[in-house]
Parts: sequence; C-alpha cells; structure tokens
Amino acid sequence: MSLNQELLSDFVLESVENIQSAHHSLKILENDSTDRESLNAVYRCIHTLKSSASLLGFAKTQELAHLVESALDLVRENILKLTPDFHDALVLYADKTYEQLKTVEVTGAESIDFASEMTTHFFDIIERARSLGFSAPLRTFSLQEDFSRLEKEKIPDQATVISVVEKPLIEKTQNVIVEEESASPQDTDLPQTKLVSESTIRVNVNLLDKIMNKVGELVLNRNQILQFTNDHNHPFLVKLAQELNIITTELQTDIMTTRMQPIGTVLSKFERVVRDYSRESGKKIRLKLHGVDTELDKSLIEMIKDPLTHIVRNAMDHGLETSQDRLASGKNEEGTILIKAYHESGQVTVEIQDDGRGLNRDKIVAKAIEKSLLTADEAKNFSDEKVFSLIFAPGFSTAEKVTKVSGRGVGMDVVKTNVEKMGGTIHLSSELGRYSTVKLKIPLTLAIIPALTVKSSKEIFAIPQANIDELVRFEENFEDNVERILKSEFIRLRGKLIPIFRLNDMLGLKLVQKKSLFNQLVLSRSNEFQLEKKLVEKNIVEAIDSLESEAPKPTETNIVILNAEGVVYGLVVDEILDTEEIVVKPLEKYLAKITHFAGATIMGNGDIALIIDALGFYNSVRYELSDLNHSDFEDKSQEDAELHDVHENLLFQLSDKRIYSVPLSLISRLEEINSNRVEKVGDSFVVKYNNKPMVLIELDRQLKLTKGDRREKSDLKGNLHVLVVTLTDHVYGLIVDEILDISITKSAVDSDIIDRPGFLGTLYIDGKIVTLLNIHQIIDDLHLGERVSSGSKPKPRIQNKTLLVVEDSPVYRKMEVDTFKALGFNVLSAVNGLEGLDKLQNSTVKIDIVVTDIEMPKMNGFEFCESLRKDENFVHLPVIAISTKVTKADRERGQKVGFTQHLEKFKREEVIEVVTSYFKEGL
Amino acid sequence: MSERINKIEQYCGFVIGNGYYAVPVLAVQEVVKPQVVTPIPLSQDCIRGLINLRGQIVTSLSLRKLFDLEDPLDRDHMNIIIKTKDSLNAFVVDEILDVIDVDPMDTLNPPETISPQIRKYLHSVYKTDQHLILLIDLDKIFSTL
Repeated sequence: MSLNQELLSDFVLESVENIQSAHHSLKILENDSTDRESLNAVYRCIHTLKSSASLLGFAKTQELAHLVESALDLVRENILKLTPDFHDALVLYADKTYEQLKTVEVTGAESIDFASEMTTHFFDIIERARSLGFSAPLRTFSLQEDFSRLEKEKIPDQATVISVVEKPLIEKTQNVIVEEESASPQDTDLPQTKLVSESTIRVNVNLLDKIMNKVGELVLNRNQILQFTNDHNHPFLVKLAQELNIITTELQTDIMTTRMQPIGTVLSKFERVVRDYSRESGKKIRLKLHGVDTELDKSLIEMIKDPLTHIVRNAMDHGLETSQDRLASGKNEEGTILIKAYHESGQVTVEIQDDGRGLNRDKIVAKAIEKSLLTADEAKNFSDEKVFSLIFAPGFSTAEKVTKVSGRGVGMDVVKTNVEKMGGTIHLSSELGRYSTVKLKIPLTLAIIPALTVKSSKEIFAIPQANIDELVRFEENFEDNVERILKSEFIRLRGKLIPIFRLNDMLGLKLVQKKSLFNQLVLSRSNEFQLEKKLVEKNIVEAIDSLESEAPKPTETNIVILNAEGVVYGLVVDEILDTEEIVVKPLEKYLAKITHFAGATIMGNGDIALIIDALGFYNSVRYELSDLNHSDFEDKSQEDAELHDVHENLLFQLSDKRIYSVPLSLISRLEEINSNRVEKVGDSFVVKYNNKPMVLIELDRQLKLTKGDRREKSDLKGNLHVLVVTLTDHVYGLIVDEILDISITKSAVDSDIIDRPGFLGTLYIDGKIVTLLNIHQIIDDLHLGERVSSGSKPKPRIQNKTLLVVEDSPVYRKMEVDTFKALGFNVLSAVNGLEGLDKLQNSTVKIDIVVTDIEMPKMNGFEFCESLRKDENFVHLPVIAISTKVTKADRERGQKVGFTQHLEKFKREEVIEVVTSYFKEGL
Repeated sequence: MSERINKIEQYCGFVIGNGYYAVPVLAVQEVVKPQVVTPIPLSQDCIRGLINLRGQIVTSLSLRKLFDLEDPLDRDHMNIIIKTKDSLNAFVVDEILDVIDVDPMDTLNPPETISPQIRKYLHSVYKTDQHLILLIDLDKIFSTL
C-alpha cells in the first residue's frame, strides 16, 4: 500500500517535471517551429510520460500520450508542419495532462472524462495527414512496439531497456535517463545540450540545513583550534591547523552553494501563466526571460514566487492594453513582458517590465486623494517614484474594473510586505504610455548577510549592511552638536536634521552589562581550571560595582546612519568593529515582540551577537520617546531624501498658548538656559553664550502679547527655552514658552490675517493655525544700539525698479517679497525657474534684477540662469542667487551658468546691500 | 502487566529552592553546566539570554524567575536543554536529580497549597517515598511566555 503510494507520488512528481520541460520546449517551438532539438525534447517528454503511465496502469493518460506521440511522429518525419493550430493543441494537451496529474495525485485514479475531446483532436490531425495521401498508419499501442522502436533508435545499452520489463518500477528513472542520452546523439546536425538531470540527485532541504548547522559547529571548532595554535607554536600543529582552516572554509562555501538554485525554475512557470491569460483575455502577450541562470537561495526562490506572480499578473492585466488599444496607439499588437534577473552588488535584481500603458500619475494621485492617503497639496510635492509607490498601500487599486486576475486591490501591498520580509526592496518606474518597470532587489540568501558589528556597553550587535547609509564620527564635542527637542535628539548632517538614538540608553545596556558580568562571575566560580581565580573574580566584582558610577564620556563618538525604507536615523554606538558575513538565526517566538532585533548570530569567536532590525528598532524607539508627533519626523526625513522644495518650521508656544513658527533653517540651535546665568544689561537681557554675549529677546513682550512694564531679571525663572538665531554675524536668543515640534510646510502662507508687526502670515499645519513670525523684522524693530543695528540704518529707497523673486518655499518667498517691497522695489515672484523664465519673457514691465533660490523643483536656479542667459535680452540682467549653503562647487557652477552674485540666504543684510548696490548710481 | 509497564513515563528531576520538579525526559536533550550567556536587552525578567551550544543558539530561561522566586544573578546553577519542535531552550535550575519513572496512574492533581505562580505550569504531581515531585507541562510554559 505504502509502496504504491510512494510510486504514485514518484510518478506524479516525475511526470509534472516532464510536462514542465515539454512546456519549455513548446515555448521555443512557438518562436521557431523548425527547432529539431526542442521537438525531440517534447517527444521524449511525452514518451516518458506514456511509459510511466503504462507501468502504473493509467490507460487514458497512456493512450492519449500515444496518440500525441504519433502525431508528433508525423512532424518528425516532415510529413506535417508544426502549424500554430497544432502547437496550441500540444500546449492544451500539456495543460490537460497537468490537471490530470493533479487529479491522480489526489485520488490515485484517472478522471474519466479526461482526454476524450483531446483524443478526437489528435485523431483529426493524424487523419488529415492521411487524407493528404501520406501513409501514416496509426500505430496500435503496445509495449512491444515501443521496444522495437527504441531498438530502431539505436539505444546503446539495451540491457537497461530490457530491465524495464523485468523491474519496471524501480528502474523507471534510469530508463528515462537512458532515453534522454540516446535521443540526443541522434540529432547530429544540431548543437548538443547536456542535461543537468543526468548528474543531479534530489536531496531534502532539511538535510542540507542540518549539514549547514554542522559545518557551523565545525567552523567554531576550527576557530578555537586556530586560537590554540597561535598560543602553542608547534610547526606540525600549525600546518595541520592551516589545512583544517582551508578545508573548512571550502566546505562552508560548497554547502552554501548547494542551496543555490537558478531563478529560472520560478520564471519559466510564468510562460504558462502568460499563455493562459493570453488565451483567456485575447491580449497577445510575449514573455521574454533574461538571466534564468541567476542563482539564489532555495528558500528565497520559494518566497519570491508569489510576489512575482502578482507582479506579472498586474503587468498583463493593468499594464498591457488590449490589442485594439495597442494598435490604435501605434504600438505593436503584441505586448511584451520582459523579466530580467541579474546579480548586482551582492544582490539579485529582478526586473519585470511591460511595454503597456504605464502608470498614470494623475490617476494614482486622484485615487489616493479619494482614499485620503494624501492631500492635493502634498501630492504636488511628491516625486513620481513616491506617487507610484502609493499603489503599495493596502486596498489600493486603480483598475477600473475588477477582473479575475487582478484589480481587487489586494496584492501590491502583499507583494511589498513579502519582498521586505526577505530583506529585499521594491522600486517602480514608468513612463505614461510607454512602459512600467517593477524592480525587486533581493539578497542572495536569507541565511547569510553582510553586517557591520558594533559595540556598546561591551555588548556586540550586528547591523545588516543593507540598512547602513554611512558612518559618522565626531572626534570631539559631540554633545555640542546634538540638538534637542523635548527628549528627542538630532544631529545636522549636511544641512539635514537626523534623529539620533543612543544604543546604550535605548536598549538599557547597563542592565545587560550587569547581567553579563554576573554571568562571568558564576562561570569563573564553577570552572575549576580558572587561573588566578581570586584575582579574576575580584576584578569582576569591581567592574560590577563601578557600573553604578557614571562612566566617563568618551571623547569620540561613532554614529551609524541607518536607512530603513526611507527613514533615516542615527544610532550612537560606543565602538565600530568590523564587517562580517553573518549567519542569521531567528529568535524564539516569544522574543519576537522585541522588534528591535531581527535575530541573532554566532560570531567567529563563538560569542553571540543580536542583529538589529533597522525598521523595527526605529518603530519601537520612536514611540518610547515622548509625545512628540514623530510621524512628522518620518515624513520629513523621507521627503528630505527626495525633495528640495520642502521647508521645515519649528513650532513653539508663547504665553498666549497659540502656536507660532519660524523657519527651522534660521535657527542655529535650541538651548535651555538657566535664568541664573542671565544678566541684565541696560534694557536687554544678555547671557554668555559660547564665550560671547547673546541678547535674549522675549518674544512675548516684543510681540506685545504681555502687558505691563519691562521685566526684571527676577521675573525670569527656571530654565528658559531659547531659540538661537544668527543674523548678520550676531547671535540672538529668542525666549519662548515651549518648543513643540518640527513640521513641514506644504500649504501656502496666508498673509491676510496680519494683526501685528512681526507677523509674516498664517499657515495651516495638521489642521491647526500657526502664526509665522518674521524674525528679521522683530530683531530690526528692537533697535539694539549701534553695535547690532547695522540692519536698521536708513535703507536706500528704490524707485521704479522691478525685482523678480524666484523661490519655491512659500515662507521664504513671502519674506523676500516683503523685504524688497520695503526697500521700494516693485516685486514679482515665481515659484520655480520655469515660471521665472515665463515671467521674464512675458512680463509687461521690464524686470531690472532677479533674486533666485538654487534648489527648486522643475527647474533649479542653475538651470534657470543658464536658460535666461541664452536670451540676448537678459545677458546683462543682474541675477543674484541665494541659497542656504554655498559650497565651492556651487560657486564654480554658479559662475559658469552666469550668476552675477552668489550669496548665503541668512546673510540678509548682505543680500540687501548687494541688491541695492545695482541701483545706487541711478538714484 | 506488560501494558502497565508500557505506560511508565520517565521524567528528569531537578531542584529549585526546596521544591522538587521534573520534566519529561524525552524533551531533554542534555544537561550542561553554566555557560556564557548573552543577555537580551528589553526582554522579560525570566529570560537570561542566549547561549551558544556548539553552534546552536539556545534561549536560557530562569525557572526561578518564572516561578516568582528569588534569583540572584551570581547563583551557581545547571542548564537543562529542552528540545521542542523547532527550538532549543535552557531551563536554569539549582540542581539536577536522577531520572524518575512515573506511572501516570499514580499522578495527582496539583494541590491548592502550591503557589499559583507555579501551579499554572504544572501538569500533575507525583509522590515518591521522600518527596512530592511537581511534573511540569512544557506547553504551558512556552505558551505563556
């Protein structure tokens, strides 16, 4: 009984493989119907199927296979041509047989209605050939005849074939191989392809895993022997140890290789999927496969199957148009899906491209707004890739009608999750009406990944290399570079604010260290071979005691900048050690709730290191921190990476409990200053800051939010929240009630409601009204004596001159427009270079000077200037570029494109000076 | 008679404090002396950390902590390596006893006098000549962790 069961499953397994390879050959024949080798391959597959079926007594399968074989004989003997009709019939046959095999597997018997229509179909083909006058006798089926025919085909080793009769069931596989071997040399006029199946055996993956584990143990053993050898320098031992080392390493590599499989095993399945879909939908689709030999780990092959199927179905259903539509838009009637697999920087990349209608940005945006995934304002700022990635949101589907294949809106989000689960990434690109491409990047193997090892509180952690953007080291003064908002800490990296987390604090490593030390103590006590036991234990106890006292701060600080799906943050660690290939071992299920870790690994020296899960860590710690709205930080860092036209605002409260904001870029630092340190000098409060006096400005009083007399020093109590602003080389501290958050401005500034001097306008952020302050004006209005009042000297009035401000940020644009208006200019504004050009060319008034930002969407400042200089009207037009930061490279590029001057944004006085200087003579 | 012998189950006995406990011997892979433990940050109190047992990662659990008993970090101990379907865990206990033959017919329900923090992990109790042995239900431990 169980023997039969085993035979049955062997039969099904083998036959399914046969059908699959027949499918593959049919695919080749579809393109080149004269390919002899493929034809023979199909023939062989069907023949093998017939023999196996007969051995197990599946008469219908056997009969039909025989018939198909007969029909194929006619083609092989050049009596019939392999017409598309005939080809389709063969494909249909293969499909039916596949279904039949599934039935056989489940029920152990053939389904009765199998094949009756197919039988007639092939009979027809043979009959037709006969009616054409060819003598193609329909052979009666018998094993005997099979043997005689095999004999005719000159099989070298007859003994094997005969053994089919004697021990048919056991020798079956061997029989197959013999046939394949004998069939190939027949086609002498064609290049021979050697089949892999001749030299391979099936091995259970569990066994491979076991071997892999054992090799792991061996590696540890070897490491210890090498260590021992270093201490005992005996030449013979050294030699042996070296040999052991080499053999072990090779063994390890070989075992890894056994788990690698060509991706073709998955990709070739799509030929069927595409063919089926093509038949059902009437769309003509050609599937092209590149790089089917690309290898990756067996478990990953299994895992990418489903996501890939989803993507291919989407491409067929949503991507490719109907034949009519394609012809109407001037495309080839036949749509193409190209699947490309290749190795790239230690990863496998799989690209699925269709030449269909492409992704429609507007449609996706509309849908996303409808599903309230984003607002229209936000959408404007999104890059194409970011918009496209919206289709990965759960429940998102832009297909107008739901089809059997796709369109239910489940799928793409599952695809994304699955790909990410295996440590991969997914990217979309598309051009409307031309193509869309899905690019999957998958690690070669799940089990082994390159990782960076770091040390904190004497514990070692591994961070997957794939998540690491860069390493930053502060030689000194790290703490001075940290900016704090409530409990959150940030550092500025090339102008961007990046949240940082200290591994020691976030993971409570002090406790961990204590546990480790106690463990060492227990080990030492229970180890009778421990040398100098007393001393060792005394040292450990001392170390435990000293844990309580504050450790001296290290002078240098190492930060690992991580990128987890676009979220960028820094991890402060004690030490950066090395990069290693690590074997990932999963943690127990009950530890999985600690999402900071992705698993554990055993290091070369036998120590265990926990592997940090970049995204899991971030998600866990950001909730632990404070009640700050961290999603804003997340948005910010994500968008920072992609967009230039987003500006952060710092939100804070004053005594009237309203929310105020200033552009973050104006603020150099956030400080807490103890009121004891504040001195009163004249009417101003001053504090020593970085060894220089800093004037403190009470925004409350300045904006006339509080009534009453000037305050005395005694009115300032406790710690003051101070925003440090640098203007015209002087430092000012703005005292606020409470610092709230950082937010991104996407909405426009509304300047209708300005009820006080010093206000720039209002903004809507997360549905709240935020008042935007004009810090320049506030400080100017202070008239802080000669030393700091260079900005308040009488400004030259300009008349009848028109100035164009090109600036994408609504806040800055407003500020600049106000400033230049105050100087007497007639001011026009544009939000980017393109609009700027338009204003220049089409304005009714002559524009006398241009002030432009550099970083802008659509057309940046460089491109803008380059284009306008091409117009001879504007060759001599003064163009002042202002940007947050001017590097040497920027300056050089600026000169090349023709900037008249290139200034820093925050040097407002300098900007005014320069701009007005062009018109002084004319006054 | 022979049927009765077939039903005898073997348990690996151990001591925690002044209590006697036992786990099914078939679940025990081996018993090892104290090992280097890598603590897991932020983990539950009863989880001591990870042990590298010849290339396999074993999670070490303090049964004392689990049973709500004192567990000073510097106490000497033994590890019982428990093998379940897909993982290895080490039970940290005070002392290992011999293998005990238990006839399931002779086991009793855990008495109410046992602390509920311990009783909830028990399968039953078994009386020998000298001690009352508490038989641990491994599933109950792993499902509550």
